[in-house]
Amino acid sequence: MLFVEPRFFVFFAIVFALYWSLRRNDLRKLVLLVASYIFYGAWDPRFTLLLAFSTLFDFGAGLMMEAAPSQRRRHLIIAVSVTVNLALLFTFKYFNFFADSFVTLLQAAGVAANPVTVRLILPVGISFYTFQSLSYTLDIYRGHLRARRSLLDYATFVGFFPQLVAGPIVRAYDFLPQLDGLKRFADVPVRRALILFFFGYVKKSCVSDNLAPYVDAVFSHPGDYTGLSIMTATMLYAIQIYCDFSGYTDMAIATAKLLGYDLTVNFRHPYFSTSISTFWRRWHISLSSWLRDYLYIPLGGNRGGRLAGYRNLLVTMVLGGLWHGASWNFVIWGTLHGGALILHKEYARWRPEALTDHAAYRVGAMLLTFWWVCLAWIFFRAANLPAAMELARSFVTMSGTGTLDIASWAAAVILGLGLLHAIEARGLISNALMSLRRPSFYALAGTAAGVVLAFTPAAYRPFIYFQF
Amino acid sequence: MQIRPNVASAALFAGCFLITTYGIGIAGRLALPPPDVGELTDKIHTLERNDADIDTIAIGSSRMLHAFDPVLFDQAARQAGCPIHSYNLGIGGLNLIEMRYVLRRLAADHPPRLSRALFDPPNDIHIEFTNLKSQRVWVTTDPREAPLAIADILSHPDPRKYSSLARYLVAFLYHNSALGLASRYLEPAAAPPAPPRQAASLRGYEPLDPGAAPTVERVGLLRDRDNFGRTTQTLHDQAADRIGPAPIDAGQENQRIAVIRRLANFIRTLGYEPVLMSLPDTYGESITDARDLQAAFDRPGTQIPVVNFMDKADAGIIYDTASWYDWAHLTQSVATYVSTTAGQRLCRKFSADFSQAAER
Repeated sequence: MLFVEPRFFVFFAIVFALYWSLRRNDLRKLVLLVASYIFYGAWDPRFTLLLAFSTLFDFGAGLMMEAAPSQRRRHLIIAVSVTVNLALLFTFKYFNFFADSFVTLLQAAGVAANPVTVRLILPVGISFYTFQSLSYTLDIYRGHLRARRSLLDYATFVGFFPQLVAGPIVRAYDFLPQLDGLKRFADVPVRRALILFFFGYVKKSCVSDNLAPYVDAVFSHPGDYTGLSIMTATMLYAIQIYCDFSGYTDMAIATAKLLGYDLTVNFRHPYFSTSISTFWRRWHISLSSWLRDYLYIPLGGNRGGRLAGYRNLLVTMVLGGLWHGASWNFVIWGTLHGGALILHKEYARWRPEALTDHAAYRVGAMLLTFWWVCLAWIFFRAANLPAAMELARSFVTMSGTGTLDIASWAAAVILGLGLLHAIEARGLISNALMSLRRPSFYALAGTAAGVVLAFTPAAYRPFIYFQF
Repeated sequence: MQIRPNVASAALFAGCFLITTYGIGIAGRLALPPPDVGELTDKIHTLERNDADIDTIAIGSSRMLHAFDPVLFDQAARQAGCPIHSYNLGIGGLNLIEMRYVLRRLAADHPPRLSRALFDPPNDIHIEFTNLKSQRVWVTTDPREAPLAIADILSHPDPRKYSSLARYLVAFLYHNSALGLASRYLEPAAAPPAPPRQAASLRGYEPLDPGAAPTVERVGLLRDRDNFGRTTQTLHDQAADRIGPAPIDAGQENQRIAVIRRLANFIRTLGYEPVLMSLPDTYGESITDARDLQAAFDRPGTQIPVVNFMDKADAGIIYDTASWYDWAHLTQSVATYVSTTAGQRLCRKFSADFSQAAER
């Protein structure tokens, strides 16, 4: 069930009405839990078993860890929790890759091996809720969090449908306290939530989904296009994935807000970053902060000196790449970002601080950061490594082997969208909408919803991050 | 919770949304050029590429697609004294509105010699929700065609027509909202149509060979052979007048005749001579329907020649169990009979036209 499908609107209207009509908090949480399982089961009912297992396992682990009589027992429990969670993730996410690689390896060594016929379907959102669940047990282990006694609360936290399948990855200490106490509809910022949902919808359906066919065309036949077109298509992909993912997040946050819950911000206009370090503080914030807190810092962070810090950074970024899937493309994507982060940290050591105040420097730095991010996106998007290398060569040298052109019109689209994005980055549109009188706002909202429907492709495209 | 202001806001939102989405949707469909629906127009492109001498097209659903062999039809007509050059424009599942769309698109391309359209009564409009988003359903729900579409749905002697009407209304609301209207025009240009799956020499005809790997539909017939045998026997007896025909309500049939007359008149307004070619199916009512249509049109004054293959003369061949590939389609060998016989019969009906043309 996608946020942009009519059936989601019907589903949400029912959940919304039922939720706010109840006067008891436990009943409301029960409604949320049941709705979350229906939402998740809409992809494949079997997936709910996995979600339930993950929930029960970590709920039990949390309770046992708190009741553990010794530190040794706590070590053991957290080790089992991490192992089981990662085993689930690896089994469903990487089994196909490793099975195929193993067969290829055997065949290369001259051993007769049949291709593996068992294929595992990747349960949508498994990477998100596994990380969310892991953070719960890890935080209890570190003493940052008390184990939740209520299974209903914990299951609602893990399964909460607005953020279940593509984040933002919510921390237990942020979300669980929100489950306490009866919420009042009067406290819900309805108009702010509707604006956010509308922007998310526009980003996903009107921008991302309309750009996708052009990106697909160039990335599937790069040899047919000019170098400038390949460069433009890469930038279009950067816009597509941003609008797709941040659009999903906007809709998730807005949906949660309408139910009285606050989710963490996941994007802060990342393409306006003037360095790769800033980019990673603005892009998929919930994942990058998760990796920082549960991987980079436990690896040692920068406590062991500069070089050790760089090593830890690179390891974190490569594993962050692999989180997206088992492929060399993701390894290279992570390495490019890790490498750029290290380079930037080195550069920042000798760069005069005053330089960063110059407007020209900031524009140049922003363009260079965007260029590098686009180059890395090629490895993220391309179907395989040879295709990625060919596209990257064309992107860097701005030369292609074909004659087809999309650059002439796409440049205007990129500039237009960039301008619109810059205006909204200052909150100008949403603030203007917030200042409208109530009838004007709802009349305009209805009219705008009718208009954006015209720019919504009839065939729904799944969100890109659902595959992760 | 403040109920009244919230309900008022929701109502205002919904009202503005509905007015905007259907305003844009319907105005857009009326004003913007219709996009090319490849499934319906690919054969027109193929026809244009392959043959500029076509003077006759045979249009209809899969019944026409699999039963009309233009080569044999032309041969038979020529031997009977009528030089005809035909093309099979049959398209699987073609309904009335789609047929009008195809004919309109064909006429817009002005095939230089085209003067005649043989048409089989199109399939009834019964939209499957699994196909709701398809471009063909988009064509079917053209707001300009809505009165005719509703008239066609209600004209069918079929109890499921009310379900068909409900489905049509849902599809109408879906496709006449603004959904995807602008986006459709933002899509990259479609790839050129795939080369035809069949040899150009077949001229649009797709034979069904019982000796080839069976389709799902054929498997269905083979499994249900006994029942099918009884059905064809009954149909044979009805067509041969051994038993009475399946009854159709007179009022219902008048609606049906009116719809087919409108289709024939539409073909005439495009500049082509309409010829009704009633190809058989295995519904009992279709024999009665074909006879009623023949009685209504095939007489002086209506100027709509009719060739009916559900009558006495053909009953022995058509309603033989072995003549059917599946429950709806004839085999290749019976298509040979249909095409040859149609060429001969139509030549007799056209002979006055041909002799006039020869004199000119």
